[in-house]
Amino acid sequence: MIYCPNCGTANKDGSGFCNQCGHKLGSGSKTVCPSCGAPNPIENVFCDSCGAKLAPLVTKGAEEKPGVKGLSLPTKPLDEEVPEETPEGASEDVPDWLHRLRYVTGADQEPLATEKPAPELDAPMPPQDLGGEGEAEIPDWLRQLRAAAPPTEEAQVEPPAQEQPEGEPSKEEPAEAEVPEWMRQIGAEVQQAVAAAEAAEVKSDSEPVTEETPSISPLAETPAEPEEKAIAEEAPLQEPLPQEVLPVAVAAVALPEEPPPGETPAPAEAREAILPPAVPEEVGPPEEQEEAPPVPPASEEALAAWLQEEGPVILEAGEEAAEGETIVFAPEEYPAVALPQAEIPAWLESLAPGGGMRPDALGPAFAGKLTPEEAGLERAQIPAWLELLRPGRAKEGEIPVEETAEESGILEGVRGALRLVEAIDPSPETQARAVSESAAVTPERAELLTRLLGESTSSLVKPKPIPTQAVRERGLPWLTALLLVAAVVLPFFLPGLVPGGNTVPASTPAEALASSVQSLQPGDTVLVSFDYDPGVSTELDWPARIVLDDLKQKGVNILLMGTTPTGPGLAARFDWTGAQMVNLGYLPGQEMGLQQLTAGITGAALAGFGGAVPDAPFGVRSLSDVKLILTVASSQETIRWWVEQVGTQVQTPIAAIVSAAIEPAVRPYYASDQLAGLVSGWVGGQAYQRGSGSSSTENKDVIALEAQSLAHLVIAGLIVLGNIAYWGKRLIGRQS
Amino acid sequence: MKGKFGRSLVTAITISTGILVLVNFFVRNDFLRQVQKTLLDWAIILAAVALILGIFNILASHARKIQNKKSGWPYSLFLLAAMGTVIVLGLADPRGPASPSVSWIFEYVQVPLQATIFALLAFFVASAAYRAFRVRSVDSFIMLIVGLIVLLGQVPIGQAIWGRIADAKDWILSYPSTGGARGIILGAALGAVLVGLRVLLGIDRPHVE
Repeated sequence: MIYCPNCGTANKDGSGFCNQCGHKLGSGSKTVCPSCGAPNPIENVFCDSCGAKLAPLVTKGAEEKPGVKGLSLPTKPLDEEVPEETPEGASEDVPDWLHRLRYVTGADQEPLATEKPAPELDAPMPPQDLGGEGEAEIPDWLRQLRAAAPPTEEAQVEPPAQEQPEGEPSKEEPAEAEVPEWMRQIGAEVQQAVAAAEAAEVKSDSEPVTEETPSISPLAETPAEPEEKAIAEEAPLQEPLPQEVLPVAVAAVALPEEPPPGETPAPAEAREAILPPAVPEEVGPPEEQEEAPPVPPASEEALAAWLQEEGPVILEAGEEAAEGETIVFAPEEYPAVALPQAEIPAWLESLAPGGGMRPDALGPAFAGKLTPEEAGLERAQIPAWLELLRPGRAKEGEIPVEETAEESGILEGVRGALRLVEAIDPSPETQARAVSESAAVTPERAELLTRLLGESTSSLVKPKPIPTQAVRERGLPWLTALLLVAAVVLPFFLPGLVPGGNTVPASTPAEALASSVQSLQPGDTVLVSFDYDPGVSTELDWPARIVLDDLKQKGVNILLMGTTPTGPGLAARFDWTGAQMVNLGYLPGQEMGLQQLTAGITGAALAGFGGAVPDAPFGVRSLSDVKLILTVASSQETIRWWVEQVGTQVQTPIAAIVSAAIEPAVRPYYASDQLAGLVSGWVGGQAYQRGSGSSSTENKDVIALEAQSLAHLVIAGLIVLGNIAYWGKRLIGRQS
Repeated sequence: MKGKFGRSLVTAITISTGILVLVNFFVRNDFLRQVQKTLLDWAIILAAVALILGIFNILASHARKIQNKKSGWPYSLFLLAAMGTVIVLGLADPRGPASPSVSWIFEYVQVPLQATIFALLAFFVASAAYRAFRVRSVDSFIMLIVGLIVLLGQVPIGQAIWGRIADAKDWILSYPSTGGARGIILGAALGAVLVGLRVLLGIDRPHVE
């Protein structure tokens, strides 16, 4: 939730503007912690630094102090400068009673920017003739204050200096409301009393409350401006001051004694009676503070005349209020009224210290002499679920247990009470009953439970494993391995087992490579790159050897290299007897190295294998001098490097011998004529041999093909078997 | 490189070198080609240095494992011993990896071991074939049929089962499979072009921390 810095309303997260007042909710505004002063996000309720609760109305960018919006009285001294502009947190709908709380006696404070006229502050809050209903709304503490206020003419709060913002109505000329006559008279009398008090002011030991003295109470009596007296007279009291919003300081003000009628109390005393002890401007040394005289207590004479004559009336002891008069509470006049003796019930009376709960004192109904029905008591309706928990009560199918009445204790005579012994040492029946309320407790189940608990754990039988699950988890991997091994080994012992073992299907890409090789002339140079790992050497060595044998028979010059560190080593394992071969070694950099290779063989970073790289092997200086580029690769990426980096730069045809696993990914390059030929795996090698017209009839080649055929057959069979098992289980499951 | 200036400098270097290498593919200029060759030489050297750094990293990690006696430290000890042996033997002989000792190790130790590891895949594939190729929908059924055709069409026994299985396999690899593979390759290539352009334009700076 995001709390509005203006009105404090909680808004949904992500809101841009407050739903209540429309104030912008931005990430730029910050909430300042009132405890530690650390800035916090606006949506925080508690400070991130100290954990104090954040005041939603305090903003970091506020240059002015916000106006008092709470329940506390304004604490600013009278001579403190009042902010000229309206505080940011000011709300437009502040009631008048809150206005009054803001204003300090004699302080030049500006009222909040509201549409309502300035409240009447130069006169204390006059009492309201609320009649019977309104009389209940006036709180007692307010009545006390009114009773203690001295009736002086100067008891008028000096209104604050008002600097109306543009466009707002003038608050110095409030709307003339209907002011009761008695209120007008009160105002006039107050002015007279204040004037008289000033003239007859007696110098006292205590520091008098002057106009410059900071005053806390908004009801303090201060001399009012002459031109504002009329405003004070006409300002209506629009709303009563709710008791719950008035500060404790005001409520705690000691009430002065009601002065006798007609007697005007001294203004100083009157002020002191209402005001709390004045705050000195300078805190002197402790010695001087100790010499501060105490505040004289409120006296009855300090009561303002208007409070005595009009409005709430303070009754004397024993005096009755007249019709229409508001009764003022005077606690010191009325003695404490004793409460009537209430009828204490017997059960409560028996709990008194020293007393004992005796059945006799409870009445005959509790003594076991009478039944509740005879005693006139109605049995309460106990819910069914609670009834089941009644101890000792027999359930359906159970043997009812006779309930016995308690013989002693406070439950003497009560039947069906929960026995203490049950809680400590419950019987087996109680235990079984407590386990499950809904389960029917039968003797058979109880016997079974007792027997099971009594049997030893060693006699427990282990659960039998499910046969199919055991086979699946343990037998299937063994079966698969056995079949594969058999498929590979059997052709060694049973040659010719596989029908058509030496008949490989035709392969157009392989035959295309064969054609390319057949077109070479003796003395031509072929670049052969071994770009595979030793892991796939068993698959690629054989087709590579077939092609290399053809190249050797053709009498071409062979340049060997590799884009992998193990490539030259793999190439060196072949039999190069009688061949014109130069091993250029490892070419680092992958596609970057191939890009360099297009610039020239001598310029490439070929490391050589077993010796330095000759300057122009077989007179070849660049790839353009090579008739065929043959790459033996196990990765699609390698083929792509050759096609992208070399095939686009030189016109030399590129052919590939690849693993059967990557043939589908490499086929597009052959289909787009970026590869002159493609041989994949053993079958591709056999197809190349058939295309070159030199089929191999060696026994080991036949065995290898037969083993591969059987292995493929086993894998295909496992796939079919797995589907049969899967669907069979589903059909059986549906039927069951 | 921290700091705004550092990031900008790295980005500027990346963009300038990338453009220099790229322009050489469109403009034939000896000077640009020489610049491109120099930059590619530097890149190849860095790739080779990365290989050496990998060796040092392996040395450090396994040495730490041996020192702390973590679980499996004997295998780390054997690895470092084998690596050290091959390096020493290769450096001791001027022929380097072509020396008889290194060649012997490569021929009779490395190649058989790697081939054995690769051969284990066959058993895993066979075991997975029992569970993986289960027909649960029309697409999986088509995939199953195509897989069986290609699997058996590769070997002679397939022709014994169905005489035209080889043609079917060839058709599958030439048309549907090629079409799908082309789509994947084109998509990957376009993605690589886009990533390269983003790096050249400085939008993506993965090399800058």
